[in-house]
Amino acid sequence: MKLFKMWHSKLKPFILEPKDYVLWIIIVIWIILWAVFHFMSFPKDLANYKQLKGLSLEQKHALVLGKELHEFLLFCEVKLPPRQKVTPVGDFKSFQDSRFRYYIYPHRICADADYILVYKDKSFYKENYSTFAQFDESSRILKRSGEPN
Amino acid sequence: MNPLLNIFASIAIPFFLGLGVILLIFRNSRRMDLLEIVPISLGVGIGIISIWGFLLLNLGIGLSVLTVALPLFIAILLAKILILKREEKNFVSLGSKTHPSRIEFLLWGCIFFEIAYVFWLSSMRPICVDDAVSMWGLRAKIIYFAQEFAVPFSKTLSALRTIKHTDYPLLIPFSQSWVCITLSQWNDGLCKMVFPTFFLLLTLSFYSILKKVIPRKNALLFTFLLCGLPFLGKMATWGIADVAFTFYYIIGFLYMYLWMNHPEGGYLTISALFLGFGMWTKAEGIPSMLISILILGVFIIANRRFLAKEQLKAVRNFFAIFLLLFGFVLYFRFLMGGKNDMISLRSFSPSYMIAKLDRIPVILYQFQRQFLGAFKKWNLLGYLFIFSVVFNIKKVFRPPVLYITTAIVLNFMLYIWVYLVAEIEIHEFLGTSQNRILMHFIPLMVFISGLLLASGKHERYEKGKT
Repeated sequence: MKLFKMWHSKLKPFILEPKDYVLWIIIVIWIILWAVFHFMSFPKDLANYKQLKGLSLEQKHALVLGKELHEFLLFCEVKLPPRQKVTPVGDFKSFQDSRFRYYIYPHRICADADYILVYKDKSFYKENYSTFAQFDESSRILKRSGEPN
Repeated sequence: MNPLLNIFASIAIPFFLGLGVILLIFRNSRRMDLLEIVPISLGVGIGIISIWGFLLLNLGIGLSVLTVALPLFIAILLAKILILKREEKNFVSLGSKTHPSRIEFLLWGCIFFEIAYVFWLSSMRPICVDDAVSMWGLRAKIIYFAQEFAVPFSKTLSALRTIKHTDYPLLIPFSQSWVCITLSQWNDGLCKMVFPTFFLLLTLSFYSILKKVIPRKNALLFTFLLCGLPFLGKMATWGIADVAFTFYYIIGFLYMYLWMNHPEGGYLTISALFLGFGMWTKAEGIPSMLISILILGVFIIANRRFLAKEQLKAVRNFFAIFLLLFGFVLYFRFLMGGKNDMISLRSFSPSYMIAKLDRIPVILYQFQRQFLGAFKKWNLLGYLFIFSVVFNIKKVFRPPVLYITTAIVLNFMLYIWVYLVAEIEIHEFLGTSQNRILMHFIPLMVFISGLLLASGKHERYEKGKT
C-alpha cells in the first residue's frame, strides 16, 4: 500500500483525466493529418517549383496569361502612348474583364476609346479607325483617325 | 539602388516606425519580449504608412520613401522628446531565460517549416488568383501609378470607384504599392510577399500572447496547430486580404483580452490600433470592431467597482483611437460613395429578414460541413474546439474565457446574418466566401482550446480582476 502510494504520487503529474486523453488523441491525429497533407501536396508543389524555377517575372506572367496573349499585351505596352483609354475586342475567351483591366493598367478600359486592341479577330472593322500597329495577321491596335488626340 | 537594400527598406521603415509607436505606448511599462515586439511593430508600421499614404494622395503629394517615411519619423521623434518620461534601456528582452526543451525545439522547427513553406509557395508565382488580381492587385496598381504619373487625386478615386466592392478599404493595396515604391518599379511578384509576411506576423503575435496565459510548451503547440491549418497557409500564398484582416482583428481582440486579464494600459491601446487597422483592411472590420467594443463595454460594466484610474485612462485612450480611425474609415467610404454591394438599409428591415429565413438551413448546413467535414481546410479544429468546450463547459461561460466565447458566438451570428440578408444568390455567396469568413475568427477557437486544455496550470490565468 505504501509502495503504491509512493508510485501514485510520482506518477500523478502525468496521469491525465479522461477528457484530457480525448483532447490529446485529437491533437495527435491532427499532427498526423498535418504531416499527411504536406506529404501528399509536396510532389505537386515541387513539380511546380521545378517548372517555375529560373523563370523571370515576365515569363511567369506568360505562364499565367498564356504566351500569345502575354506577348500581345507586351506589344501594346510598347506601342501605346502612356496611360491611354483602350477598348479590347476579340478572342479573349475566358479571360475576365476584371483581370484584363489589371494587366492592361495603367491603360484604362472604356467603351469608346481612341485605341482599340483587336486580338485574334481578322475581320474586325470599325469606321473612323485605322491600323496603328500590327502585331500579327489577326491581332493589331487600331487608332481613331481624322480626329485630334 | 541595390534591390535587396530596397526590399530591406520596405520592411525596415515600417518596422522602425511601428517600434517608435510601441515604445511610446509602453514607455512606463515592463520589458517586452522580442518575439512580441517585432510583429506588432511591423503591424502598426504598415497600418500607419497605409493611412499616411492615403492622406498624402488626398493632399496631392506624390508617394515616395521620403514623403511617406520622413514626416512620420520626425513626428515620432518629436513625440518621444516631448512625452518620454524615462529611458527605455533594456526595454526589449530576448526572451525567457529558461532553456527550451526538446519538444519545444521540435515545435519551433515545425512552425518554422510551415512559415518557410508558405513563403516558398508564395514566391513561385506573381499574383494570379482572381480576387488577388482584380480586387487587391488592381487597387495597388492604381495607387502605385498614381504617384508615377502624378495623377490627380480625383482621377485616382474615379479609377478606384470602377472596381467592384467600392467600399473595400486600402491597407492591403497601400502595403503592396509601398513595396513597389521602395523598389521604384511595379513588381507583382515581390509585392505578393506582403501576404505570407502577415501570416508570419499572425503566428508570432499569437504565440507571444498565448504564452502570457498558458505554459510556453502548450502555447507553442497551439501556435503550431494554428499555423498548420491548411486553409490559412493557402490563403497566405494566394494573395488574399483575409490573412491580413485576421492578423489585425485577432491580435487586436486578444490584446483586449490580455488587458481584461492583466490591466496593462498599453495592451488596450495596441488593441485599439489593431482593431482600427482591421477596419482599414476589410469591410468586415467595422462590425468586428463593434463586437469588440460591445464585449469591452460588458467587461467595464461588470467590473466598474474594481477599475482603477489608470484603467479608465486606458479605456479613454481606446475610444479616442477608435473614433479617430473610425472617422478616417468613414471619410474614405464617403469619398468612395459609401455603398456596400451586398448590404443595404433594407437588410436591417425585420420583414426582409423574415422573408429570407429559408436560407438558414442552407447556411447552417454549409457551416457545419466546413467546420466538421473539411479536413483538408481546417483539419480537426472543429472537433478539438467542440470537445474542449464540452469538457470545460463551466469555464467557457465564466470570465475571462467568457469574453472569448462571446466574441466567437457574436462573430458567428454576424456572419449568419450577413449570409441571410446579402443581396446575392446564397449558394454562390457561400461557395466563394465561407472559408475566408471562417478564417476571421477561427484563431479564437484555437486560442480558447489552448486555454481550456492548459487551464489551471498557469498562475496568470487565475488572475481576473485587479
